[in-house]
Amino acid sequence: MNKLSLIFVIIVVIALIVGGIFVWLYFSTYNNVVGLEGAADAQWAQVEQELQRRYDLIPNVVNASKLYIDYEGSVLEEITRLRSQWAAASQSGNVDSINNATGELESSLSRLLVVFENYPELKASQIVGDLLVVLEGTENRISTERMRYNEAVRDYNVFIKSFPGNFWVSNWGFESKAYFEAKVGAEEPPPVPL
Amino acid sequence: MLFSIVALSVRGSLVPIEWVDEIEYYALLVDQDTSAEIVVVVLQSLSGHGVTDQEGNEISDIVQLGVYIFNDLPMETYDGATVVGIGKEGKDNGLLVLIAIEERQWRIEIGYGLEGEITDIESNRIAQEYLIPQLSQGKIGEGLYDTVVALGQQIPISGQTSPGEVRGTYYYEQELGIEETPFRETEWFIWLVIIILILLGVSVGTPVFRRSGGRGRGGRSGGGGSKGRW
Repeated sequence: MNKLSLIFVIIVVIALIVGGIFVWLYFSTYNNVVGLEGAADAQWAQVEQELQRRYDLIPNVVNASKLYIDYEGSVLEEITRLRSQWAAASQSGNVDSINNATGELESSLSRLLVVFENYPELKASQIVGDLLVVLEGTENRISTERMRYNEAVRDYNVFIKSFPGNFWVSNWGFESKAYFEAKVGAEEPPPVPL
Repeated sequence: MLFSIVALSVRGSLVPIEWVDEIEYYALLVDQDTSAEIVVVVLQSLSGHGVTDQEGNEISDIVQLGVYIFNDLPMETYDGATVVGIGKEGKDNGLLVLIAIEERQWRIEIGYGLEGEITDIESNRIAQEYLIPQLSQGKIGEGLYDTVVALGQQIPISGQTSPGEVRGTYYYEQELGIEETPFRETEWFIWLVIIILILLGVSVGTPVFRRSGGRGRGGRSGGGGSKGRW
């Protein structure tokens, strides 16, 4: 009898401990998913801010360049058009269309920078030179924040797919996030000649 | 990711030691007066420096390398502590001047907190005026010193640094990073669960874990600044 009740007590204690660990694991997993998702969302806001910076900068670059390269206006028109297309994609909030629009805009910006190479008087201009420095800084910021966003997404995606998150996360309504990758061939920021 | 820096042993081989001392002393004054930190890194080359990204590939792009050194590379301070991130935590008031001698490339990386004081255009002008002409003549020490002074003069005097926060080491030459086992949060989590299961009882009250600290956290940057060649 004594022996039986001792075994019973041990079983109850073990059950309580295992139950406690389970509850702790459940809530700490939930908190971690929320934290990782929040980090990825905050990083996405940083990316958007830098893309907005580029969006605001493009009219300045286009207008300053117009003074020097009037007969290569097609590049400038294309950039202006892709800028509007990017704004529409950004409004829609769809990551895929933002990716595509960003990739196209980046490749047309790099074409413009190649055009600049052919205009020494353009590069000698103080205003255009400064705008190129700002454009380059913006491109570097975008690629830095984009890399950090993708790292945050990777941490989040790995967590929700690994044990024990994979048991619960879908019930909680968390889904894996898409990486932000501009179109193939546009991962590199346009090279800025100095 | 753990790195050990073997910087001080080769100190003075790329830049004359008297200029290293001048740069360090000026950066120390800037830290004391403004709490901002200016770090100078001189690399022999963009290849072979041993600083790698998370996949273990050596970073050969000077911008990416600057971002990594600024934000992720543990750097020793004068009292032997290790800090990750140039500048003070929360203020993000760091500056990095990085040059690669063989490739003749320079990079000025500006912390988030100083982007308003030193715009990309201003950092480029400082480099055009002080850095490039002297580097072209082979005066690396003078060029770096004049650049650091010109950058330091842009930083407004605000709030003094308490002695314990002064980095005290602002100049690094040819850093060599040695990668050790990557330490992922998920792996740690699994190990934690296993340890808990082993120790039962003892760990039930453990609070929700966080990524382990151990190293001081400094400022952050996001790719702002300028770069070029000489």
